Amino acid sequence: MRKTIIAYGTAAWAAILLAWALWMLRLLASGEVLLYLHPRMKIFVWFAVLGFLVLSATTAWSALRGRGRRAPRAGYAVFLVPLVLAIAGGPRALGADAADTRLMRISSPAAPLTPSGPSAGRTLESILASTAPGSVLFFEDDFHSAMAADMAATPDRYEGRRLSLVGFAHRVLGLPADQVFLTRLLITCCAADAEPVCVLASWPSAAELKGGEWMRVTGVAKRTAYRNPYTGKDSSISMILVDEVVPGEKPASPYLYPGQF
Amino acid sequence: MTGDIYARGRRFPANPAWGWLVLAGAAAASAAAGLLARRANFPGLSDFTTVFFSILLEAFPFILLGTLISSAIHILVSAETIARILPRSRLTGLLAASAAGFAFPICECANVPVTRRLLAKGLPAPLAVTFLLAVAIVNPVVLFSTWVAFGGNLGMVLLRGFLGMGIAVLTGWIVGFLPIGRQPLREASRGGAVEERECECGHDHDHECDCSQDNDHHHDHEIERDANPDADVGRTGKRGAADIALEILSHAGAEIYSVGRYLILGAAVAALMQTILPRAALVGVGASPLLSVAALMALAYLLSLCSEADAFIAATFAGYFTPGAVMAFMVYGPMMDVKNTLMLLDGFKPRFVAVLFTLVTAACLGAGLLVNLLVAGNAA
Repeated sequence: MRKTIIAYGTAAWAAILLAWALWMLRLLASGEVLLYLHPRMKIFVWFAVLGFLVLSATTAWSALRGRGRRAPRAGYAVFLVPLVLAIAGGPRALGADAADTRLMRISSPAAPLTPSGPSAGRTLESILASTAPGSVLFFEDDFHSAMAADMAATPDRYEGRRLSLVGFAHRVLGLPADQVFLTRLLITCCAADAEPVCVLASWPSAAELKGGEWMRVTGVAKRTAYRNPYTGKDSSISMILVDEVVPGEKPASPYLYPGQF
Repeated sequence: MTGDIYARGRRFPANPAWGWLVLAGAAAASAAAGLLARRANFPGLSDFTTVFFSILLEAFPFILLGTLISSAIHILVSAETIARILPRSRLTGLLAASAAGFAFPICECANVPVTRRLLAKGLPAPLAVTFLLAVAIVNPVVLFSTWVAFGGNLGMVLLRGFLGMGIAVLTGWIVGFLPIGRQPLREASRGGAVEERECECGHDHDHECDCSQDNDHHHDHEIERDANPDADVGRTGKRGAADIALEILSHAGAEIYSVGRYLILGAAVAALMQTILPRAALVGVGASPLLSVAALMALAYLLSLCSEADAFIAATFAGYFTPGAVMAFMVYGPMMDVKNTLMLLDGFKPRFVAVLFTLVTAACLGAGLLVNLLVAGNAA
């Protein structure tokens, strides 16, 4: 009976699979996976963790029985480099710069999605109906994109109402100096499909903003003419005339996630 | 036997120390880059890594699923079974292949390994190509997400579905007449398993490989079994469910290396494009019936979005680009993008991939123009 020589190259592959599984597991356990994915995708990541763990175990089993490669493939580096980069660099959310390369969503044809969790059963209509005209209408995360789209599509419904929302300042070519788009990034599946959801706001000191600063603004909605800088088309949208700014206020989650589908 | 260590099929010099050296060097360099990125504030680099890992995290489960299905087909389904269940009529076969996504709603990451395996098992190339192109569009999840993204517009859903189906069937049908369509797979991917070429699985197969024992030779993995004569019975013997499961997992473990490395490279390119390419730069051609279609097809190719999510991005283009361009974005992206091109190149002949790329690009461009003509006709 020949002595079994451990296939160390294949064992290295098993270790890389294991490391990917553990990294994904850490993201899930810490909640940092939401910096990359919509919450509904978590179940798929759990599947990947389980799958990678099982594949790692079976690969290690083969390696221990001397089956496979004695030396690692150079191609393993393709898996190793991003993994080490991820661990060393740490997870980060997309920043305001990401909004610069994407087209804004100031009006949206998207169907209202049904929120889950605490917002289940509520709708944009019910929120609008339940908020008295004199009180402040807050942009809740679950309805933020729907409300922003509705403001752009039907500005009359918001005319004169007091609104409050959190976002980062996003400067767009052609906007007057005292106007910025208060922006959040909306993620449908993953950060690769992030799109800026924008609400136009105006106040004198907005001219001092560089762009990217998080804040809460509160003010009164007013219908205004808007010329799309990219298409040159004129439209009428709702703008917030801001009278109160809380610099530095950030939302609990950096992104907006539309409801499940 | 010395041989040429850089001969075809060899990926790395025979000395095992080189492999370890490359891994150690790559790990050290990437750790340094990661720590540097953590300390310094490079927004572009930060956005690149976030998009890159988001694509990987989204794609890994589906790549895994694809390789598991592919390995299960390899172990459990014989070429005879494939031949037996094939429809007799080519048209029926093409239509069935184009609608297979309703039974297997897999995305454009998972379909590449499955298609490779089906081809290796004898599925005719026209049907395999039709399946490959259609399955990431003509499936309930993608069509529903399109419905949501376009505010319940059933016309967009039907148009996307039928265009996807039509282009897939047309391309598959044309491939059936091309000489390259007779054997689109690379030599190493034919007949046996793709992962046998990669040779991580540890099972019994005679083939030329560069796998385990650090010298150039043809060998039989039976040699390695000598060390463990009581180990698994192998493909030729009587196997229990556990043996079969182990064999499927072993193959999947190897195949995920084969497919995953191209996914990672493709994700890196896509993330780079997402970070540096301002979409607003394309809006200038948004009104042109031809250029707008070409521009959004190029964007779809570079961004490599998941077909479940691309409709939401397409919806944001609606006010900026022609309807045909928006539709071409949603049809072309799931069929051809950076990451699936790289994955295709791993198992398919480069010439076949080039032909497929040309056919799909031409068909999607034509479809986008057709939509624009019809919309312009209706408006007039």
